[in-house]
Amino acid sequence: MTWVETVLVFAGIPLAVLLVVATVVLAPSAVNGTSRYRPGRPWGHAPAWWLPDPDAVGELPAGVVAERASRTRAIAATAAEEADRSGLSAEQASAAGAAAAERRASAAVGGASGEW
Amino acid sequence: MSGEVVAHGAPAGDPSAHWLQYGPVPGADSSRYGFTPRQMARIDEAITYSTRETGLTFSVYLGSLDETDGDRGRATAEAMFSKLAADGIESPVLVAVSPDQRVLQIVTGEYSSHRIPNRQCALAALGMRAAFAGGDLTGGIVTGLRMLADAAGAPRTS
Repeated sequence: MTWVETVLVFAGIPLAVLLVVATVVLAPSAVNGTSRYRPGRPWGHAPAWWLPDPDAVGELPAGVVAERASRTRAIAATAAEEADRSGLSAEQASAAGAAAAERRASAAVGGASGEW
Repeated sequence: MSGEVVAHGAPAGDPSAHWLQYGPVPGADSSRYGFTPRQMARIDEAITYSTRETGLTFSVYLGSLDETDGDRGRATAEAMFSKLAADGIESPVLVAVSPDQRVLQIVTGEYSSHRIPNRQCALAALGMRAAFAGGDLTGGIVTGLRMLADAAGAPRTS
Protein backbone atom coordinates (compact mmCIF):
# COMPACT_ATOMS: atom_id res chain seq x y z
CA MET A 1 0.00 0.00 0.00
CA THR A 2 1.44 3.35 -1.00
CA TRP A 3 1.11 6.29 1.41
CA VAL A 4 -1.61 7.78 -0.84
CA GLU A 5 -3.76 4.66 -0.44
CA THR A 6 -3.13 4.64 3.29
CA VAL A 7 -4.38 8.23 3.63
CA LEU A 8 -7.42 7.53 1.45
CA VAL A 9 -8.44 4.44 3.41
CA PHE A 10 -7.79 5.67 6.94
CA ALA A 11 -8.72 9.34 6.54
CA GLY A 12 -10.73 9.65 3.33
CA ILE A 13 -13.32 6.94 4.07
CA PRO A 14 -14.11 8.07 7.66
CA LEU A 15 -14.37 11.64 6.41
CA ALA A 16 -16.79 10.64 3.64
CA VAL A 17 -18.95 8.70 6.10
CA LEU A 18 -18.99 11.70 8.44
CA LEU A 19 -20.07 14.00 5.62
CA VAL A 20 -22.92 11.71 4.58
CA VAL A 21 -24.24 11.45 8.14
CA ALA A 22 -23.99 15.23 8.68
CA THR A 23 -25.88 15.90 5.46
CA VAL A 24 -28.67 13.50 6.35
CA VAL A 25 -29.03 15.05 9.80
CA LEU A 26 -28.76 18.73 8.94
CA ALA A 27 -30.22 18.98 5.43
CA PRO A 28 -33.98 18.78 6.19
CA SER A 29 -34.13 21.75 8.57
CA ALA A 30 -31.78 23.78 6.33
CA VAL A 31 -34.03 23.15 3.31
CA ASN A 32 -37.44 23.99 4.83
CA GLY A 33 -36.14 26.78 7.06
CA THR A 34 -37.56 25.41 10.29
CA SER A 35 -35.70 24.83 13.51
CA ARG A 36 -36.58 22.70 16.46
CA TYR A 37 -37.92 24.61 19.43
CA ARG A 38 -35.60 24.46 22.39
CA PRO A 39 -36.98 25.84 25.66
CA GLY A 40 -34.81 28.71 26.84
CA ARG A 41 -33.52 29.58 23.39
CA PRO A 42 -35.20 32.28 21.31
CA TRP A 43 -37.92 30.98 19.00
CA GLY A 44 -37.30 33.72 16.44
CA HIS A 45 -40.23 33.17 14.09
CA ALA A 46 -43.07 35.44 13.08
CA PRO A 47 -46.02 35.54 15.50
CA ALA A 48 -49.26 34.02 14.27
CA TRP A 49 -52.87 34.13 15.35
CA TRP A 50 -55.06 31.48 13.84
CA LEU A 51 -58.79 30.89 13.60
CA PRO A 52 -60.62 27.95 12.12
CA ASP A 53 -61.71 28.49 8.54
CA PRO A 54 -65.50 29.02 8.72
CA ASP A 55 -65.96 27.16 5.44
CA ALA A 56 -64.23 24.09 6.86
CA VAL A 57 -66.18 24.23 10.13
CA GLY A 58 -69.66 24.77 8.74
CA GLU A 59 -72.76 25.80 10.63
CA LEU A 60 -72.78 26.20 14.41
CA PRO A 61 -74.89 23.40 15.96
CA ALA A 62 -78.44 24.49 16.84
CA GLY A 63 -77.97 23.35 20.45
CA VAL A 64 -75.08 25.77 20.95
CA VAL A 65 -76.98 28.69 19.46
CA ALA A 66 -80.02 28.00 21.65
CA GLU A 67 -78.00 27.48 24.83
CA ARG A 68 -75.99 30.64 24.24
CA ALA A 69 -79.11 32.65 23.59
CA SER A 70 -80.81 31.41 26.76
CA ARG A 71 -77.73 32.27 28.86
CA THR A 72 -77.58 35.75 27.31
CA ARG A 73 -81.26 36.23 28.10
CA ALA A 74 -80.73 35.10 31.69
CA ILE A 75 -77.85 37.56 32.20
CA ALA A 76 -79.83 40.38 30.61
CA ALA A 77 -82.87 39.56 32.78
CA THR A 78 -80.82 39.54 36.01
CA ALA A 79 -79.15 42.85 35.15
CA ALA A 80 -82.47 44.41 34.13
CA GLU A 81 -84.04 43.27 37.41
CA GLU A 82 -81.24 44.89 39.37
CA ALA A 83 -81.57 48.11 37.37
CA ASP A 84 -85.33 48.00 37.92
CA ARG A 85 -84.86 47.66 41.67
CA SER A 86 -82.52 50.67 41.69
CA GLY A 87 -85.39 52.79 40.40
CA LEU A 88 -84.71 53.09 36.65
CA SER A 89 -87.54 53.14 34.14
CA ALA A 90 -88.46 49.89 32.39
CA GLU A 91 -86.77 51.01 29.18
CA GLN A 92 -83.57 52.03 30.92
CA ALA A 93 -83.61 48.78 32.85
CA SER A 94 -83.88 46.64 29.75
CA ALA A 95 -81.14 48.68 28.05
CA ALA A 96 -78.93 48.15 31.09
CA GLY A 97 -79.69 44.44 30.89
CA ALA A 98 -78.73 44.25 27.22
CA ALA A 99 -75.52 46.21 27.84
CA ALA A 100 -74.61 43.90 30.70
CA ALA A 101 -75.21 40.85 28.53
CA GLU A 102 -73.01 42.28 25.78
CA ARG A 103 -70.22 43.17 28.21
CA ARG A 104 -70.38 39.73 29.72
CA ALA A 105 -70.25 38.06 26.31
CA SER A 106 -66.98 39.69 25.32
CA ALA A 107 -65.27 39.46 28.70
CA ALA A 108 -62.71 36.84 29.59
CA VAL A 109 -64.18 34.72 32.36
CA GLY A 110 -61.99 31.73 32.99
CA GLY A 111 -59.12 29.66 31.70
CA ALA A 112 -55.73 28.61 32.92
CA SER A 113 -52.09 29.58 32.77
CA GLY A 114 -48.95 27.54 32.55
CA GLU A 115 -45.18 27.90 32.45
CA TRP A 116 -42.47 25.51 31.47
CA MET B 1 -46.66 41.60 20.46
CA SER B 2 -44.30 42.53 17.69
CA GLY B 3 -43.96 41.70 14.04
CA GLU B 4 -46.79 41.23 11.64
CA VAL B 5 -48.82 38.49 10.12
CA VAL B 6 -50.11 38.17 6.61
CA ALA B 7 -53.88 38.16 6.64
CA HIS B 8 -56.07 35.72 4.77
CA GLY B 9 -59.70 36.73 4.94
CA ALA B 10 -59.33 38.41 8.30
CA PRO B 11 -62.54 39.71 9.89
CA ALA B 12 -62.92 43.41 9.19
CA GLY B 13 -63.68 46.11 11.72
CA ASP B 14 -60.88 46.10 14.25
CA PRO B 15 -57.44 47.39 13.23
CA SER B 16 -55.83 44.58 15.16
CA ALA B 17 -57.77 42.13 13.02
CA HIS B 18 -54.89 41.91 10.57
CA TRP B 19 -53.37 39.56 13.08
CA LEU B 20 -56.03 37.02 12.56
CA GLN B 21 -55.97 34.59 9.76
CA TYR B 22 -57.85 31.50 8.86
CA GLY B 23 -55.59 28.56 8.71
CA PRO B 24 -52.75 27.82 9.26
CA VAL B 25 -52.53 27.45 5.50
CA PRO B 26 -50.41 24.32 5.14
CA GLY B 27 -47.35 24.70 2.97
CA ALA B 28 -47.90 28.28 1.90
CA ASP B 29 -45.84 30.08 4.51
CA SER B 30 -45.02 27.45 7.09
CA SER B 31 -41.29 28.22 7.43
CA ARG B 32 -42.21 31.81 8.31
CA TYR B 33 -43.78 30.48 11.49
CA GLY B 34 -41.08 27.88 12.10
CA PHE B 35 -43.17 24.84 11.23
CA THR B 36 -42.99 22.22 8.53
CA PRO B 37 -46.03 21.99 6.20
CA ARG B 38 -46.96 18.75 7.95
CA GLN B 39 -46.92 20.39 11.37
CA MET B 40 -49.00 23.28 10.03
CA ALA B 41 -51.51 20.80 8.69
CA ARG B 42 -51.73 19.10 12.10
CA ILE B 43 -52.39 22.39 13.86
CA ASP B 44 -54.94 23.42 11.25
CA GLU B 45 -56.71 20.09 11.59
CA ALA B 46 -56.76 20.32 15.38
CA ILE B 47 -58.25 23.84 15.30
CA THR B 48 -60.87 22.88 12.71
CA TYR B 49 -61.95 19.59 14.30
CA SER B 50 -62.13 20.86 17.87
CA THR B 51 -64.25 23.78 16.65
CA ARG B 52 -66.51 21.54 14.59
CA GLU B 53 -66.95 18.99 17.39
CA THR B 54 -67.78 21.45 20.14
CA GLY B 55 -69.38 24.47 18.50
CA LEU B 56 -66.84 26.66 20.33
CA THR B 57 -64.40 28.63 18.18
CA PHE B 58 -60.84 27.68 19.06
CA SER B 59 -58.20 30.27 18.28
CA VAL B 60 -54.45 29.76 18.64
CA TYR B 61 -51.98 32.58 19.12
CA LEU B 62 -48.27 31.88 18.92
CA GLY B 63 -45.96 34.74 19.80
CA SER B 64 -44.86 36.96 22.63
CA LEU B 65 -47.34 38.34 25.18
CA ASP B 66 -46.82 41.76 26.75
CA GLU B 67 -46.41 41.44 30.49
CA THR B 68 -47.74 43.90 33.03
CA ASP B 69 -46.80 43.63 36.71
CA GLY B 70 -45.50 40.11 36.29
CA ASP B 71 -48.85 38.69 35.21
CA ARG B 72 -47.07 36.56 32.60
CA GLY B 73 -49.12 38.03 29.77
CA ARG B 74 -52.52 37.17 31.25
CA ALA B 75 -53.92 40.67 30.68
CA THR B 76 -52.69 40.68 27.08
CA ALA B 77 -54.27 37.30 26.43
CA GLU B 78 -57.57 38.45 27.95
CA ALA B 79 -57.49 41.62 25.83
CA MET B 80 -56.92 39.46 22.75
CA PHE B 81 -59.85 37.31 23.79
CA SER B 82 -62.09 40.37 24.09
CA LYS B 83 -60.99 41.42 20.61
CA LEU B 84 -62.07 38.05 19.26
CA ALA B 85 -65.48 38.36 20.90
CA ALA B 86 -65.84 41.98 19.77
CA ASP B 87 -64.99 40.90 16.21
CA GLY B 88 -68.06 38.69 16.26
CA ILE B 89 -66.27 35.37 16.76
CA GLU B 90 -68.88 33.05 18.33
CA SER B 91 -68.03 31.59 21.76
CA PRO B 92 -64.26 31.83 21.43
CA VAL B 93 -61.60 29.92 23.34
CA LEU B 94 -58.14 31.45 23.05
CA VAL B 95 -54.99 29.39 23.44
CA ALA B 96 -52.01 31.77 23.57
CA VAL B 97 -48.50 30.33 23.58
CA SER B 98 -45.31 32.33 23.97
CA PRO B 99 -42.30 30.08 23.22
CA ASP B 100 -39.82 32.82 24.17
CA GLN B 101 -41.39 33.62 27.55
CA ARG B 102 -42.25 29.94 28.10
CA VAL B 103 -45.79 30.86 29.03
CA LEU B 104 -49.17 29.62 27.88
CA GLN B 105 -52.55 31.17 28.57
CA ILE B 106 -55.95 29.60 27.96
CA VAL B 107 -58.82 32.09 28.03
CA THR B 108 -62.52 31.20 28.06
CA GLY B 109 -65.55 33.48 28.01
CA GLU B 110 -69.06 33.48 29.40
CA TYR B 111 -70.35 30.54 27.37
CA SER B 112 -67.11 28.66 26.78
CA SER B 113 -66.27 28.66 30.51
CA HIS B 114 -69.65 27.02 31.08
CA ARG B 115 -68.66 24.26 28.65
CA ILE B 116 -65.00 24.00 29.75
CA PRO B 117 -64.54 24.45 33.53
CA ASN B 118 -61.29 26.03 34.73
CA ARG B 119 -60.19 22.72 36.19
CA GLN B 120 -60.28 21.17 32.71
CA CYS B 121 -58.37 24.16 31.30
CA ALA B 122 -55.68 23.62 33.92
CA LEU B 123 -55.48 19.96 32.94
CA ALA B 124 -55.05 20.89 29.28
CA ALA B 125 -52.41 23.46 30.26
CA LEU B 126 -50.56 20.74 32.14
CA GLY B 127 -50.55 18.49 29.09
CA MET B 128 -49.35 21.33 26.91
CA ARG B 129 -46.59 22.27 29.33
CA ALA B 130 -45.22 18.75 29.28
CA ALA B 131 -44.97 18.79 25.48
CA PHE B 132 -43.55 22.31 25.32
CA ALA B 133 -40.91 21.54 27.94
CA GLY B 134 -39.80 18.70 25.70
CA GLY B 135 -39.51 21.10 22.78
CA ASP B 136 -42.62 19.86 20.96
CA LEU B 137 -44.63 22.96 20.07
CA THR B 138 -46.91 21.28 17.53
CA GLY B 139 -47.62 18.34 19.82
CA GLY B 140 -48.40 20.65 22.72
CA ILE B 141 -50.84 22.76 20.73
CA VAL B 142 -52.58 19.71 19.26
CA THR B 143 -52.77 17.98 22.66
CA GLY B 144 -54.15 21.10 24.32
CA LEU B 145 -56.85 21.61 21.71
CA ARG B 146 -57.83 17.97 21.89
CA MET B 147 -58.08 18.01 25.67
CA LEU B 148 -60.13 21.21 25.64
CA ALA B 149 -62.44 19.83 22.97
CA ASP B 150 -62.87 16.58 24.90
CA ALA B 151 -63.68 18.53 28.05
CA ALA B 152 -66.28 20.62 26.22
CA GLY B 153 -67.83 17.53 24.66
CA ALA B 154 -70.33 17.58 21.83
CA PRO B 155 -72.95 20.31 22.01
CA ARG B 156 -76.42 19.31 23.17
CA THR B 157 -78.62 18.92 20.14
CA SER B 158 -81.91 19.71 21.84
